[in-house]
Amino acid sequence: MTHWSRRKVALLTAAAGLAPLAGTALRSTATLAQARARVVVVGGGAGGATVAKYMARASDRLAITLVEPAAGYRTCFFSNLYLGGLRSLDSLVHGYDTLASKYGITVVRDSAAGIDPQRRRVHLAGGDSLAYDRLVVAPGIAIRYDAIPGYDAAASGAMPHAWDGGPQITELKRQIESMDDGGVFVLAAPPNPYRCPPGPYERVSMVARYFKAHKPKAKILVLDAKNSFSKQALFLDAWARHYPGMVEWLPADFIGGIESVDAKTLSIKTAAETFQAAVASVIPPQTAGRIARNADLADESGWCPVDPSTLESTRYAGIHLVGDAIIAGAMPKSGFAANSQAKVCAQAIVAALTGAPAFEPRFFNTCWSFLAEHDAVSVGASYRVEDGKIAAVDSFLSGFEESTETRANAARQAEVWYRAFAEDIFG
Amino acid sequence: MGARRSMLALAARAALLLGAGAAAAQDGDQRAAYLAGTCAACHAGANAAQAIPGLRGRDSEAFVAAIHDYRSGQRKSQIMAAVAASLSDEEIALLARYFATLGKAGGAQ
Repeated sequence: MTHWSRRKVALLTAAAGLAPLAGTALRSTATLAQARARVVVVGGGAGGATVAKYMARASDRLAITLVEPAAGYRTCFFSNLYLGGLRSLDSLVHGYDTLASKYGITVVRDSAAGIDPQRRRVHLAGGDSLAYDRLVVAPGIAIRYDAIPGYDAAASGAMPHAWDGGPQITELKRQIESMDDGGVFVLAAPPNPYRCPPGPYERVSMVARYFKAHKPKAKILVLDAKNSFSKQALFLDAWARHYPGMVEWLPADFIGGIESVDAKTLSIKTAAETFQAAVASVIPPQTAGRIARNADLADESGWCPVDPSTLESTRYAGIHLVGDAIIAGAMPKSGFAANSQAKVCAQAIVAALTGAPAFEPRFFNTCWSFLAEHDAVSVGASYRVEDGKIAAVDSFLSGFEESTETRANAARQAEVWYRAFAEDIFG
Repeated sequence: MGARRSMLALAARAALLLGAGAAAAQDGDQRAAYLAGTCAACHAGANAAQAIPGLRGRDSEAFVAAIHDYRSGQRKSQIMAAVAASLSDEEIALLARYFATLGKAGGAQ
């Protein structure tokens, strides 16, 4: 395999030759900028930030710009631990300074308002626009405010989904902490597919942990749009062991589906009956993030189809997508999956723009869930591309019969994972 | 890797690229770096005593033995069993060399 064309080697040699004259290689940026291919990454979460970093690591012949409106990224993963009193909110926030200083990524604090795939430009909300040779769109999810009658953006303040990394997580915690002992916390769990399949049930576990210590007469009611869920047997067992008599889970067939909510009275109407909550967290159906849908990158399902070997959109050439927004075959919508897809995407873009080799795509996912402080379980799999789709090769799920020590070790592993994972993305 | 250092390293390498042996070695390095991306999602640093051990500077023979033990089931870990099953013997050797030299002078960065 030829990795370097004669032109590319000549270019490199020329660039190196300039360095001593200019004092530093970095000072010859103006010269290099003309030769460097431009990659713009929209979205600085687990997917987008990882693509940017891994491209920068693999090649310094790319001019990489990361567009992200927030000063830092607050992870959705582990935010349930904040609800449960096991984590501070600050510990979930990660900035972009290292991506800029160590990897030379240009971080633009703005949001993408539109994409022109013909002219290959991203228009920013602030008025600027950025030209690209390749674009990566990593917008995560958007909450659907048209799916449950009564549940619009205004209503979500009273019945927080707290599912998009935004400020609702603090509001939900405030509501839970100010609830009277003996009140009912209702969690409405969404239909598939959605971000973080075990997340709603980990949230139940962590709220239960808080109630057990502070409001022992409180109850938790789960109204589910599904008849089964991720790690179901493990969660049901844990709720019975750690929080006996506190948690009740009602499947879709039992309640007949959620028909509407009333944010003023905090009631949730199902086909079977109307449930009254003291505090409610309603997690509605979701779609790909707004910019992906505005730019026509999503299909009629609301999610974005991609070539799994390169993560390039099957709808628009030159635009790649990673993370929760994509249709990823057997992979779940998780931060871990987004990070894994990002590494495949990064090597595909570097290969396309520099002629570097690309290797057979490998994907991996692991999702830890906390059932209690020292009781965690995991689910995951390795994946490869088979018949044009991402298919699971070897999958695993924590056993029902695991020892207390195994579970405590999984909880320690999850904590170490979080640190390593944040470093892999942002460090 | 700093942009400046890597640019100089790349430029230095450019002269060697005419040699097929050097190209093959670089191919192995790049492949190892790609495969190590999967490891980096959970393993950080050099501390071998953590619940998920750091791999930086890990002895290559110990690394190979551990992955084979996970693959055979001699060492128990559902996660690492799935990782080990996804790697060929050649890939395990590439990764062992990658982590053994990681962060050391002349080794992977």
